Amino acid sequence: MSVPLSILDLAPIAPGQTARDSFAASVALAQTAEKHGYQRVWYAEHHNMATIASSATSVLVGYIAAHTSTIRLGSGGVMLPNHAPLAIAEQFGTLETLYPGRIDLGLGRAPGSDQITMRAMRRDQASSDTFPQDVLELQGYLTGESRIPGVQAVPGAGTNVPLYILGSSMFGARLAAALGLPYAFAVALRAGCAARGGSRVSRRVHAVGAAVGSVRDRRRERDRRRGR
Amino acid sequence: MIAGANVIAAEDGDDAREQFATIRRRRVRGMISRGPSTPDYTDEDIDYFLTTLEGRGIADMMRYSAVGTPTEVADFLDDFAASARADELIVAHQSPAITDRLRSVELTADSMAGADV
Repeated sequence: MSVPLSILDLAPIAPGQTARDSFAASVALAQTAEKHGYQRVWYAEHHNMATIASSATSVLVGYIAAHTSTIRLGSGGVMLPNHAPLAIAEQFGTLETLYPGRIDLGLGRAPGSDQITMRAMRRDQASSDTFPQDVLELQGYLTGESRIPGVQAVPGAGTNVPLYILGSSMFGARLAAALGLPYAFAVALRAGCAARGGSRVSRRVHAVGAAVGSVRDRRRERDRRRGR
Repeated sequence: MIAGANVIAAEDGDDAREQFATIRRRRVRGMISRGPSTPDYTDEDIDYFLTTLEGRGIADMMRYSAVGTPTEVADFLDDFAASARADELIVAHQSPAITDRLRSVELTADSMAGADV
């Protein structure tokens, strides 16, 4: 039995085409994926790129959800340093309320983009520094156990949208493990980064796989001992 | 753990590899562009760039992709999933044209499910 498959839709705007064309293609892709047994389709978040249409990820997820029935949909990933955790909780709480049981929230740490785009997003280099705390704050809103007294996400509280940490390094893997969250490892998918060779990529894949595997094995062993 | 990979599956392996070459050139062109003042690089310029030290990193990155017939793609993905100890694979179908991309989606799923494609 082969491993389950999901899809990352990069929502490309092909040469000579428009964002609207890209969205039509994304609908077709999600419907085809649903028909062929894929688990989920995720959409990334890229700003200020003429060749990518998915900048408003939650809006796109909602549009695709309305044109499909059962396939899970989500972000791969929302770049949390670009947003207030409360706003993301509200957006994905709204999605989960409208399409219950179908929404994933994959979270990335890289604010991405260059300086001018970062400033246009009202962010700076330091925004990624609080990623772990921001994930916890977001998790609080979605579980209904807000870490910020007096503040809740509506909709959002109690929706328990599943969170995934996205990354391409040991840092991300360790953070996911520390938070008890699943890890989506995408070093082979990263565009625009200066990878220095296929063999180094594959060594990193093995290393992260082994690390995640061993953390997961230790956690399962601990849970087994605790009778869970 | 979900591991990500690029995929281009087509009935004809050479067709898949040609699609890969196209998308790689497009990706490189996008990366080295600096706005409206960027010169118009020809395909030959891009192909040459991919052989330089600077370009080879990009070339290698995208080489970490399952490109070929449905069987070749499924073999790559199975090996990749095993070595990454992944519970699930999230694949980006990279075919430039939407019709080819949808076909890649179908062929990959069918091949991974063990169907004769």
